[in-house]
Amino acid sequence: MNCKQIENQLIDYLDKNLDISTYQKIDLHLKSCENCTIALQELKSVFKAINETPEEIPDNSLKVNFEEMLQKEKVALESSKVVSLHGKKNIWKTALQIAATITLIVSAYFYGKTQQDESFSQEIAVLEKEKKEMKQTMTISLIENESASKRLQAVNYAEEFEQPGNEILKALINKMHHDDHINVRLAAAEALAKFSNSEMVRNALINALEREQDPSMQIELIQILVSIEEKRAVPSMEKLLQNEETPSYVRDQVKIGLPNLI
Amino acid sequence: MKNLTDEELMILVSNGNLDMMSVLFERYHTRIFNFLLKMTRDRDVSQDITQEVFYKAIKYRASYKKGKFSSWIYTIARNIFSDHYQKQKVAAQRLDDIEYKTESEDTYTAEKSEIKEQLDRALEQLNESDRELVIMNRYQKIKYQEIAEITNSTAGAVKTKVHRAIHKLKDYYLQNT
Amino acid sequence: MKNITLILLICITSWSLNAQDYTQSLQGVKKVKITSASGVKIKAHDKNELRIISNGHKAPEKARGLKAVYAGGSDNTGLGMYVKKEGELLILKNLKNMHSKVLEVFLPKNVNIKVERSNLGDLVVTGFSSEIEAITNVGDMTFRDVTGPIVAKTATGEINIVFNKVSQSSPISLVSATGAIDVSMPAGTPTNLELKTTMGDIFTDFEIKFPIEDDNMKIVSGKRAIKTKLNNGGVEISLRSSTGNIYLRKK
Repeated sequence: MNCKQIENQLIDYLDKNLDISTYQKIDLHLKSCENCTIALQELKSVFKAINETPEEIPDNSLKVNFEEMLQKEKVALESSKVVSLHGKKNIWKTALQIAATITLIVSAYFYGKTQQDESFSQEIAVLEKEKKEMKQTMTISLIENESASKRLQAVNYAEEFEQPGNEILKALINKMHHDDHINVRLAAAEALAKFSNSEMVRNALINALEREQDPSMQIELIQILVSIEEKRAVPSMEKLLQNEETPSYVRDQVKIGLPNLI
Repeated sequence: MKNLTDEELMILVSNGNLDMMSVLFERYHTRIFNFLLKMTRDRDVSQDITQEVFYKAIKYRASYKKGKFSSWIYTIARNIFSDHYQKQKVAAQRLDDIEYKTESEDTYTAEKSEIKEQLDRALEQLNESDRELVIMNRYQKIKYQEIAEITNSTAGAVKTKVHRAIHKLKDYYLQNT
Repeated sequence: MKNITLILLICITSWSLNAQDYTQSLQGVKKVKITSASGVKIKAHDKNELRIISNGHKAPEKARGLKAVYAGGSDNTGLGMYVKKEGELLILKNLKNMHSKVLEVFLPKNVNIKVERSNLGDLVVTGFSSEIEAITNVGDMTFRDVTGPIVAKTATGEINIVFNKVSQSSPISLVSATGAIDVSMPAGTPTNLELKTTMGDIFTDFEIKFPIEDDNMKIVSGKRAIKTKLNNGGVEISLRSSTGNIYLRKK
């Protein structure tokens, strides 16, 4: 490499962005070439100056203005929801409805003044509802994530629901059967155990034990099926006992659990 | 909520959970502000534009398409900045005002180091596109690939341009010393 | 004198070039997937590239002019490995069988890693602040100087982890069927901890509040689980083994 080519790569050299052989070639060249060494020093001094530039802190008003703007947008979002529900109806009717809504809000405000506890608990209820909707969105948007840890997060979110919808349950069942990482499958099975009042979930758990090959999953499923007292799982447990390929610790688990079901 | 990635938070925002924008504001407003400050050298203008960036991000939340959030927010910031810059060009008078303001601000912060001033002067000598690339890549540490996403280019082209701009910056910087 | 230095320099350079390590830039790569039947050793380094240590891999004298052929794919590295970049993913397949030498790889510390089908051999991972996913069958797993998230499972091996900090970004999950799980982490780590073993024992020097026993609860299986918060709670950490013991230590 000549000096021109070396100089063109000095930034990558400083960024450690080169493969090892190019790196060594430049190293070697620098030892014998004064001009390139100076060019390197110059670049270093510029980078040093840049890196020592302090980060400026904006005024607090920026945050205050942002929060104010956010509140306005939230109000706008809420009222747009109200209007859009009524579609293209008579404009007078809409106006009347808005007026009625305002009256309602105003009276609710005065009512709330005297009944603070109650309005407070209503607020909490609204918050809880929002939180639940958010978790639902999160679960669905994360459960097919490429990262196993993120998928576990999704399963954990799902587990926190009191009464998850079918969409969530189906997603969990799918994860229990098919996830790429066994740890996610285990977590999904564990989460499903909480929702064993659903017949769909019970059937899925029974099916899972019938088909399962992995010992850790077998143990988890046996424990779950025993704890939810699912007698229909007895045949597949007996099959596990008879199968010579079943590891001894899985068989032990069946022996502990089975008497509780018969 | 602090455990969520930028992208997860923005998905929530685009689904109507506007509160999540506060978290993103906390994560990004200082960076965006500093980006604009380096571009404009005017605190007030930079704060105004930063404010507008987050306003637009909320307003156009539905246009967020599951890409990298940081690329998206920088794209917005660049658009608003160039709008602002266009307006400035038209109203040349206003440009004078701003130049004056910058200078007077400099004299207030007397302790500002000489090195930083030289560097800022060198940065100002670059054309707008070179300046922007240096700021994004070296001050804000945005990777070539991501700059390519923001500026609608390729990583290879961005890298070549950034390197060229750095060499120019270096020459101006050393001339000033 | 000068000449001697120069000769020395040339010797050193040519020696390291002769080592014939394989390198590949990881520009734009976020995740590296490694499949290997033999043991795997992964270490972090400061360059944004993949480096496979050759370990003296050499074709026999008789094979001159011939190409090695493997069942799993074509060797495009000269080291019995297949490397392919697919967008943000880099795939590295060790084509050699499970009795071959340990695969030694260097990667940048922030790239996500997924290791699969490491069969008889052990897996050793050192120095990463990224997400690591791993599944092995017989081999032990050792992670040192890591932050997680880690999602790992071994059938019969042990899992040993030393966290120097625990990333709060997303859950950590470690599963072993018959081997022990041994985790060390800083005493101040905030976490929602779940420890579960069917027939093993749990040992720890963390102060764990045990849930009050519910007298009405029927004991239906040998299942033993502890769910608790450490340092007011934080990222989920789940350790579970079927017959192995669980050790959780303060670092």
